[in-house]
Amino acid sequence: MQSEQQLVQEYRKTGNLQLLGRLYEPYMPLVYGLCFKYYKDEAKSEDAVMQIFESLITKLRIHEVSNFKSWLYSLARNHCLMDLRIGNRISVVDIDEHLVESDLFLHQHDSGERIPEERLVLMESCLGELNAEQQTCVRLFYLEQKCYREVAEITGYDLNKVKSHIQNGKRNLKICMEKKQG
Amino acid sequence: MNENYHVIRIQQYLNGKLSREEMYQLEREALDDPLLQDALDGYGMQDEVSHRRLSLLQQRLAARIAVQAKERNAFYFGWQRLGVAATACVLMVLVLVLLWIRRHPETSRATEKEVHVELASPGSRVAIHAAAVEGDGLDALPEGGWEKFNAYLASAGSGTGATGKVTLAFDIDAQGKPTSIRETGNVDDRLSGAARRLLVGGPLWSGTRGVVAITFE
Repeated sequence: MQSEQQLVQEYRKTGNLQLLGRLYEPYMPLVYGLCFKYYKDEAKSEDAVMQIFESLITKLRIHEVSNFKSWLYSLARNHCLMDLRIGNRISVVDIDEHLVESDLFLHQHDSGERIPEERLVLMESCLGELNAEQQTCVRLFYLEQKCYREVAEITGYDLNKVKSHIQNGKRNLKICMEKKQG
Repeated sequence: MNENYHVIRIQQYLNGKLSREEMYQLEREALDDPLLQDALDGYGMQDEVSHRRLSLLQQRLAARIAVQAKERNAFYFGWQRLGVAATACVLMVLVLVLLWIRRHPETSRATEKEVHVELASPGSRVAIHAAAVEGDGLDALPEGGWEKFNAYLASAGSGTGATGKVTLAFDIDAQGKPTSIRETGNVDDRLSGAARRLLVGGPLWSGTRGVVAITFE
């Protein structure tokens, strides 16, 4: 069983679609879900999944890809956004930014429980700077490990609101910590 | 990571079949994995994961990959065929060269023979040309002019081997044929016979009377 990175390298060398198919197939259901989020149409989403594969064929040979999944996400999302011509309203994902982000998370997972104390202090102070909704949701989700539904039940917020509070809170937390650290 | 497992989990998540811990785990993963998050949002909109559609997509992907495989094969065979054709061409050229080398001495011998024949009868290539003798009442003109007449002599006259000059006087009949041909001056029987034949077999004439000097060189 070849690793994903090996498959990427092998495909870049040979251009063999079977290799690319093996790379892409596991992600197809996720890409389909992503496309449906933007198109809200089953047939269009299916076509988009295939179109994304087509653009993979050429782009994966041109670009140096170190994290296939992150790169695929950017490619797929940008494809949908471009196609819907709403790229102006929703900013296109920058691949590098996203890679940095996922690397950061990998790093966090690696270091596991041994998070330095000053980072915890930093996080606590940044958490205090978030707005009330975000702070509540982030605390419940990350520190008390409640799922979205539980958070929604506890806070009384709508489930989608909970999700966006957590997503935005997490992003703001990261920005705040980077600012204070740097 | 097994992404099928993802799809099943997404389905269970949407159907509310996961425990609170499992739901939390998936949500947590999705926060770190924007692809999973967007997929989750997408499936959330249609409230179900259509396995039929997903397997149709897999079939489309397989078909798309098969197209390249076919193209590749066609291409491959194309190159193979080209290779065979190129080899055949090279072999044919080689064989032709070999045959040519083998036959080459014979052809050169044949050339020598030809030269030999030429040497054996140098007289066969006698240059013959004619010139009009001017005089009163001599108005004969060969059809096409004297140049053409001389060209006819050069091609038709494979003379007797003797050289000399014959002067022939003749009348021209109504059809333009030379008649009443008679030699004037020195008469060499061999030459005059040839000259007469040339004159009779030659082009028609215009005018009434003519005298022509034919030189065999």
